[in-house]
Amino acid sequence: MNAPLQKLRQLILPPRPDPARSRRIAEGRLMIGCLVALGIFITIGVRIVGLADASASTRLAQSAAAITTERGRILDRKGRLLAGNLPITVLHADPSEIMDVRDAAAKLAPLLNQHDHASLIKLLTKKTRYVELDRQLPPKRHAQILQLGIPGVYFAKGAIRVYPREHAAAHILGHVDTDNIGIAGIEKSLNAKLAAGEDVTLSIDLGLQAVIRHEIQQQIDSFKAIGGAGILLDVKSGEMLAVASLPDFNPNQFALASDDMRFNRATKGLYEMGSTFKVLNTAIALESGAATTNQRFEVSKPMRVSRFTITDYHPHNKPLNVPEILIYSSNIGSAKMAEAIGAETQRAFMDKLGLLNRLGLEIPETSRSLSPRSWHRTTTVTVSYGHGISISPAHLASAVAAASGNGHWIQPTLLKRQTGDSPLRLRVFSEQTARAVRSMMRLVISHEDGTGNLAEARGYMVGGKTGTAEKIQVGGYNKKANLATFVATFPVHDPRYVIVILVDEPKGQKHSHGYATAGWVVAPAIRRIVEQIAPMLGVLPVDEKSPLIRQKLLLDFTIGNEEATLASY
Amino acid sequence: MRLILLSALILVGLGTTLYQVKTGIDERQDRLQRLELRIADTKRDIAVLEAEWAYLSRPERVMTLSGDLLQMKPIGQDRILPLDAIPMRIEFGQTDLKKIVFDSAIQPRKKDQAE
Repeated sequence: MNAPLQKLRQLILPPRPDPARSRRIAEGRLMIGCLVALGIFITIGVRIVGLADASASTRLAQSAAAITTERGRILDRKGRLLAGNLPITVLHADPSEIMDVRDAAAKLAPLLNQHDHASLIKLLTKKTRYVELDRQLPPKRHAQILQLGIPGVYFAKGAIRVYPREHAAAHILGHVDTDNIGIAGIEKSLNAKLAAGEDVTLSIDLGLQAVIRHEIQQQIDSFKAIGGAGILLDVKSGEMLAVASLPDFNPNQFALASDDMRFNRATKGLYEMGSTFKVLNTAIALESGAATTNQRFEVSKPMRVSRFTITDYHPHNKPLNVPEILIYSSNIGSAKMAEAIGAETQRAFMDKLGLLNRLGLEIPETSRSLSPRSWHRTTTVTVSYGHGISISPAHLASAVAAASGNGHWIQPTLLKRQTGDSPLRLRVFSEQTARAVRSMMRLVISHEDGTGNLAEARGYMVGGKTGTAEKIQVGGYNKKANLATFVATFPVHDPRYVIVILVDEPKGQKHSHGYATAGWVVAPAIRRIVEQIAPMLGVLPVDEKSPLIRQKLLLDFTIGNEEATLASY
Repeated sequence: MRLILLSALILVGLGTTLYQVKTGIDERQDRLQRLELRIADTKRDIAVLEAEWAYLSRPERVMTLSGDLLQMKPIGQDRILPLDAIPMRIEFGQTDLKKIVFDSAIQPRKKDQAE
């Protein structure tokens, strides 16, 4: 039975292969199948790894973009915020992704303030890939636009620079442009540091700044003046604790500010300071040995110097000594002292006091002072009472700090000094000279004939000097436009602060009996400022008659017919 | 054959571990990112509040408010004394102390009426 079947099979099918050979073939096929499967698995594995890696790296990039470095803040010396950042949402669109421009414009128009339907259509049909629709989108609008679900409309997080104190120290802070790059003030000069996210601490104290600004504004209002400036300088460190310039502006609305408002009168404005220069003239005369405190100068006749005639506001019939020249503010006496000093010496002192150069402050808004190139006799004489040289109030503050402080000229700064800082410090006057100068400045206020009586803040030992200068105009001086300046230092027995206040073009008022002089316009502001800031600065009132105070002052002056008594109230 | 199987198993095992590590990293990165975003958000909130506080506490506003609502004036120099000018120790008998407390409570009121 088997044999015929075997034969039949051989007829139909090919001969049975060798079992060993067929095993080899099967193994080979299995191997190929395995390799194919392995290949597929490896590919899938590689893809998985690759994808996982890619998603992680893109995510990292996203989170890095979300947390960009914010511009550094500007703080006052006590860490109070002067300039900071507020988060904003920027609404932008990619016109190429918007499918129905008309529909999108119609939906967006009622939600945006800056655009209407027509202008939106114009924007959204632009051939760019980025159009900005709103720079400061409020959160509520953000949600509403998100709900509209228009494709191609995006939100980006941004930051806007804010100045929460508004007007205070606006000139010092400056401003940034729309790309957050500083264009004025500290924002400009320290842009690199701020852009890197570092905070900047100023020497300014917000509280003192507010008091000084407020009091100057009050004097500007009551004397219908066109402007003013004020500086409070720390004599020992050279830090500027307050710098005010009025009229000022709100830096949050920088675009609305006029050029006059933006102008920094305190550091950039140049003025002929008038009689306040007599403080410096006195210091130079004493230091150079051109005069001693009780040396008398003939002041009875007007003095002619080339084409000028120098006269005194109140003529005096008898010779005046150095303190009297300062107290009565005698131009003739000052001129005589200047002639004794000599042009070369005077110029050298002006140079040492930084009055011939730009005052190096940390803001771009500073000016180089205006002084004659060649120092003639007329220059020497006019400079003695503050004419023929134009300087900024900041210049005056730092020079007077040297003359009435302890004799050092210290580089002023707008940044808070750190412990261990050693500012540039030059000895210009001896301590003896500085002591004599501030004792005389005290008499300007405390003596009954002094021009600064109204600046007397009882107990705080204020010394000062008034200056009322006619303003320069083309071809000479304007007799009707005055500049009232007052430079004060306190407390005189232990000099710590210098205040310079300037009121530009005050007009005589009924309450000042028609006067628009510094003694009437600025002196009362000095009194109010000192009374308010002394407690803030930790300056304690003292009894002027106490021997401890008196021995710290120079008292061997003769004023009028009697020995000077500093305590004349 | 056994070698191939074994290596395939090891490969699969390695692949699974790698995948798990990767997803683990992903999860952690997500958490980190969420935390970073939360920190950034909080920082923004702080910035907003700081700006608001700075705006509300600006001296001009405080001056106006205190001028309108409080009867405060700059401190007169006769009201400031250094600490060492105040006698620190007073030795009184019981009755004396009572009298002084009583007097000082009465005196300002008298002055007010006079004004």
